[in-house]
Amino acid sequence: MMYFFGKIYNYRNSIALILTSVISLLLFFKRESPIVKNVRSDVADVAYYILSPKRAYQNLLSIKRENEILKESMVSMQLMNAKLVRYKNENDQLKGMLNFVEESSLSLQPSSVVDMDFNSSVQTIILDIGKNGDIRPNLPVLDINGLVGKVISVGDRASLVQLITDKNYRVSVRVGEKRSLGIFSPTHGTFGKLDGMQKSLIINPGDLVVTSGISDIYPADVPVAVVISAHSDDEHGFQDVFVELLGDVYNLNYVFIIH
Amino acid sequence: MTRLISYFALFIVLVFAQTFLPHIIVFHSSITFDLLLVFLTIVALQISTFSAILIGFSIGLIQDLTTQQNLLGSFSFMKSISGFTINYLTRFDKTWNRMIRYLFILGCYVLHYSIYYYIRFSGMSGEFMNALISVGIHSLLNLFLLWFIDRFVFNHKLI
Repeated sequence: MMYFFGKIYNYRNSIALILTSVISLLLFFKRESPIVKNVRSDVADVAYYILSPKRAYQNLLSIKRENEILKESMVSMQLMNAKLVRYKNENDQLKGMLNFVEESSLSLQPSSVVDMDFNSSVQTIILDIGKNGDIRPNLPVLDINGLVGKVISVGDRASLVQLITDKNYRVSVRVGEKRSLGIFSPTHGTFGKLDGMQKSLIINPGDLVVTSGISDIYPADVPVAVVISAHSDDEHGFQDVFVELLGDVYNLNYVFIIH
Repeated sequence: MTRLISYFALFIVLVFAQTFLPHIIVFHSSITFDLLLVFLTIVALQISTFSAILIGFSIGLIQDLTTQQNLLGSFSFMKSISGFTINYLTRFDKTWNRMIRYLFILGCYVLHYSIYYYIRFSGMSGEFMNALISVGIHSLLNLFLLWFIDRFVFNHKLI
């Protein structure tokens, strides 16, 4: 306590000057005369200039913080935008599927693709429906464009589908104006060929290839592929007919199982 | 104690004298001797810094109350600072010669009147030169009065 009063005593001159100045200025600025108002505005101007570096620094800090918030917001918006685009695509796809189901005379069971395998010996996809959806082996699977495969194995809640692009896949088809019979077999990618097409048959590029209906598995007239070239030579007994699959095999999200 | 009473009595007389003192008009400014500032100078050179500040504040406050209540606080602020700065001279009374000491006091007066005329001409445009001339005349007038008192009353022993 004595130390405190000692300090005050040592600085009494400065304290007295500060106190008297503060009291005087308080008395002065309490008045509302025009002169005091002018002085007050001058003081405010001076304070504005004196405090301008502090203000600039604060602005800089706030801009930095604002920038960080905007960046966060931008990333968040981009993620949301990506999600919305995905939802839009999904919505378009589902709308297309809905139209397809309404227009088709077949009994179709929609299903979602949960996994794909193009590397093992059998090219397959896994669907999220199994015995719980009354799925059985050998049921054909198609997307809105055409045939994509058939069910080869069924679990309680999932099914394994052999894709039409698998090298062991074969399907009986018809093509051309005379609906000539042939056997589709895949070659590479989304391409395949038709075997057993006689040389006398008129087959043109663009002709639709559909299932024949003589199989126990596939109903008739399910679109399979479109002809891209057909030619014959003397070395072979049949025409070489090359086709491109209609089903979007490498980009499957939703498919239909034909009951 | 006797000196304190005599100074107080002199102060009362000076307050009344200040109100009856004639004014001269120079550049739109009414200029006269500031008896209280000169009195503060004389007192501040003979007492401690602490007392000089408090007496300066008291003189200024009384001057505010008697002459310009709408600017209450302005004279008390100026006189407090003047009391402090004039008293600062006592630290150098052995080292500075008389001329320097008078110049220092002139500087204190200029500071005092700069604040005074800044407040007085605040908000008026084009009065800067008038204010500058008024500050100079007012400061020199009071310095002359101080020199006169120092010469004829204190016999050059005050400054």
